[in-house]
Amino acid sequence: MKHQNIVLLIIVFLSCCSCMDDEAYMNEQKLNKTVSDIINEDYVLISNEGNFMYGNASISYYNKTTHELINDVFSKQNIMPIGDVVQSIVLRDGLAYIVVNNSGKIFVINMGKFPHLPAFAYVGKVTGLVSPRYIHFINNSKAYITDLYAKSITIFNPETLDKTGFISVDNKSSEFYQHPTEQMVQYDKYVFTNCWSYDNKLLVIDSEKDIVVDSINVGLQPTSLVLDKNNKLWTITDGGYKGSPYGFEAPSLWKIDAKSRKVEQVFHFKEGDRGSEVKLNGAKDSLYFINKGIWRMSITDENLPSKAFISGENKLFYGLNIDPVDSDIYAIDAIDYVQPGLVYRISSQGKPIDTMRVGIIPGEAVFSH
Amino acid sequence: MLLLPNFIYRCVKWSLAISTFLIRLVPINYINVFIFIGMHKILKIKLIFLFTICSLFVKASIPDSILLKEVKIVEKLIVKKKRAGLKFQKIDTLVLSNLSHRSLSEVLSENTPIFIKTYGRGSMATASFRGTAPSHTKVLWNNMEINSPMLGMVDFSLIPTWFMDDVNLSYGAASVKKSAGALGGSVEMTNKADWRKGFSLHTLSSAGSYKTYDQFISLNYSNRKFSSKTKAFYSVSDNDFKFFNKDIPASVDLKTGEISHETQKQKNADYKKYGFLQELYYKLSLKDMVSFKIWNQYSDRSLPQLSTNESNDKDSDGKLILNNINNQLDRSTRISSSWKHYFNKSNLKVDFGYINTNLDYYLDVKQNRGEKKVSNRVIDSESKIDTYMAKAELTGNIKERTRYSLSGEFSANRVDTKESVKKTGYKENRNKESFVLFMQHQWTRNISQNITLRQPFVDEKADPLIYVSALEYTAGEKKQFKLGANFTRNYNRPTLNDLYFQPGGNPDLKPEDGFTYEGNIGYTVSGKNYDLDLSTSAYKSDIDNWIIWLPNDRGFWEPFNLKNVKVTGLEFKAKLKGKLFNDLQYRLSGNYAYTKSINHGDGVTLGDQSKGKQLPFIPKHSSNLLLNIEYKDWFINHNFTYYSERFTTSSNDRKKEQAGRDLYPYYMNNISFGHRFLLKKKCLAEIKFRIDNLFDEDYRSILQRPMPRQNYTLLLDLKF
Repeated sequence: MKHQNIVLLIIVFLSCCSCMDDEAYMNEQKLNKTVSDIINEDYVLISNEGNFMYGNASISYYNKTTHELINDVFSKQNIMPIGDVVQSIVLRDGLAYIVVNNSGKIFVINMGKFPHLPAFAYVGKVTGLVSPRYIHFINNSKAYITDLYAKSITIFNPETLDKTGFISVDNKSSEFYQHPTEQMVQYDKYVFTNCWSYDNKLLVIDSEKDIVVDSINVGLQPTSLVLDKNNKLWTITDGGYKGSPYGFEAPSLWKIDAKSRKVEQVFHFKEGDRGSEVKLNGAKDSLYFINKGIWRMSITDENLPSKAFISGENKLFYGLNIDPVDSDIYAIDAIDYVQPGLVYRISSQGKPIDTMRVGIIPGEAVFSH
Repeated sequence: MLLLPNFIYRCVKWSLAISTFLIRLVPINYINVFIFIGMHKILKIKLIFLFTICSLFVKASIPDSILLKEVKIVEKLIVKKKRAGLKFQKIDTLVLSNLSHRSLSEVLSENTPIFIKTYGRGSMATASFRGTAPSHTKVLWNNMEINSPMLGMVDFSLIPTWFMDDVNLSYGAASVKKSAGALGGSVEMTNKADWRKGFSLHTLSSAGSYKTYDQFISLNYSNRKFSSKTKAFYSVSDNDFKFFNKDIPASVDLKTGEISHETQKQKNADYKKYGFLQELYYKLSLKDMVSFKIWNQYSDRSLPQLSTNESNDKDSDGKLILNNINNQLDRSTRISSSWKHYFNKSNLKVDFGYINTNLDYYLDVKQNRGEKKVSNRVIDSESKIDTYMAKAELTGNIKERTRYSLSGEFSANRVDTKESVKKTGYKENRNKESFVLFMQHQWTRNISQNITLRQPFVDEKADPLIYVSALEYTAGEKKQFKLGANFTRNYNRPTLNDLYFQPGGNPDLKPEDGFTYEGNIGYTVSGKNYDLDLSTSAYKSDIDNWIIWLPNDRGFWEPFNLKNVKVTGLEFKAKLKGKLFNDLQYRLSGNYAYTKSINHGDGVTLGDQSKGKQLPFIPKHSSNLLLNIEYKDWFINHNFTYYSERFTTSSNDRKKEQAGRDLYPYYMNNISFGHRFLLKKKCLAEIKFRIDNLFDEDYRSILQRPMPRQNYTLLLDLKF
């Protein structure tokens, strides 16, 4: 009889000691960075997308001078997760606007505008978005948010964080789901945006009237968009995928005059190549993009370079950003996408400077200056 | 007329059959059974012969545990019915009846070492058996594999426990006789005829928190030759539990920076499920029985948003417009028919089966654009899956000491899946054949050995041979010690989605190739007032070409044969039942599993830190404990489940390290208690109250998916 009583006691013990601490799931080491700690520093914010439907996105802070790296600054400061899939960040007037794609929101955090609050402190949000991707500021009281699924661009007022209007980009004439708007650049009063998923267009929006006024046909699935110092638009397509009902072709790089909206040159890649992430250096005269490795060319080159500037061997480049001040390259390796990724900081001469292990699926780096 | 050994064998079987029958009518204990056996040994041959024939047909319903006793009585070297040296687990009928209003996912997670990953109450639940992936657990219903050929896995939240009479687990090598590719093991569910004459009716009604209502019914009719069972259920829930959402800011004070949070109701988590199961059994002759079973089911579920989601909009009156509304519709029809013929020393079983599954999923996005509300369908996918199956198995003995089984299986899968927004999809067929040979030999009273050979063919091409070799040694006066060992090579084909999904499917994927060693020890002891069953196993698996899906730089996912996974595990199981005082009976059973499931694949890139790390979502330690106490007509059940931390990254990051997240250890207690009584002398009634999440834990078991706090269910069980 004795041993049975002991067993019963064990059960009671086990049951009572069980307790789950849901608070502990967030990072308990609260961050204490004040605004003065960062305001005069040269820093980089890295957006880590996290896994789709995991809600494990994060923001990393990297000090360019001291090489200090702090991961997960948003949740360490605010003791809450940032959300599901951080797509992009815009730094403007002492605030960072963080687009949380699959949470349908934009979080605004303090990067100096509120000196009495800590750095990275949450200060506001725009909610009720469908699948937001990128933000482009027209002026202090008007900004655009592109969207993958909304078939419209949302206009919001950054001063009040209220949504103030929509620009319809619904392409009813296509049998595919269009238009999915992505990155934006502005020439004069016109905002250009590339339409990536199952699309082949750059849309032209009049930012005074908030309507689509024109479109430019490019190759299949333009992934990214920049405007160089000569007012030429550059976009790189990924060409879709094999077996896609929308079509499949080799990737290509497009040069378009922003004023006339005429295609000036198309650079074709080989089949099996992968084009993405066209970027410019600080002077906006050198072009960078990913095609397995990282490639560089002048905006006036007539041909694609013969070999990669940085080899992609043993790496899986997912993102690319160029520091506008010193033209350092921030090349992003997402590894297997289910572990914290790496950011390689490389000088414009191709010399490695630093390697940072950041969050899951690092997507882009944005610069304080 | 009858050979002597055969006579003894049947004589015992007859006695057992009668006693089994009586046990069902009146709860008599084992001592009575033995008295019964003793009594009937002196009965005349004539009578015995008559009952022997009857017993042939009761054979299917004799529980295994009683068959073991059979070996105890007959002191003769007869090959065991149970496959030696392999590990099986039969889920207690008490457990099945206690959880008959829930899905099989809860039965497994609360009573077996299988880890169930569930996305929330009523949501999808997938299994990890011995540290493997969901597609490495094969699920059989009446001998027919029901894993989706498209996805490879089974959603256990869609299997109503009410529909299953028997649930058995075959660990690792033990699965090979009935299915290929179960690198972890298999779960076998069967339906059995109930030959009690006349009509009987069983109903179970339940009402629970969050407007959850379930109704279950079972109608049984049997005569001498024919038996029919009709079962049906209907379950509906709003599932709108409240939770304090720490994951989104309700407001912020810009003077102090203080962020406040709010309690919110879970949205879009409602579900509705219903289904029926019809079973027909008919004895064609003294030596032939046919059966037919059809299981039809419908499930309509929404998958709730993550707790961080703030995409919901408001209309001009401030009313909420839910965004990202999705819905998953699962409809399935499964048919299984079989014919069993008894020869003198063998029997032949022929099965035919058909499965039709429809899986529809859509995702709608909605937004308020001033005057008008806009709604767009972003994903609209439909999948139709048909599986045809035929199987013949001959089982018999070669003399007394050798048993064999020879079988051939054929199955054809047809998958037709399309997504109308992106206009992707595929239509593919796959035919599989397998030939299986099983032999078991009793070398001495204590040593038995068996082998299983399975030769699969896929689309007429031969796969490598799958094989098992197992050895068992029993010791002790009453054979209370059991030692078993086995090794196996198994082989799992990629799913049709792995091969053909658009975009990403890779037709060049190689099958997953596994090799496993296993050792088991069992010990059974019975005292005056108790029975104790202890068993422990250790195993090591090496799985090559493990398939994982990874996103690529073009915005979609692709499967790769990337990993080599080595699983080392230890399982411990204990079962104690007995009497404390005259009227107090208790049962205590527990499982503990240690699972080290390590990735040994070379990394994808230079910075890869996943080598040597535990696979995501697989806990290293897991255990559960069930205590059942019955006092006269009152009873109480307490269940405790524990999982250690689960990583969500391949590099096993903890929250303190990189920006990775881990899931903290899981402890869950559920309790139920009730009372049994006779209603108007005709109806056996049971009223029961169940409390889930007894200690009102605020928890999640998947990132950003809140779980319900303490909740209640009231149940009424009536047997006519």
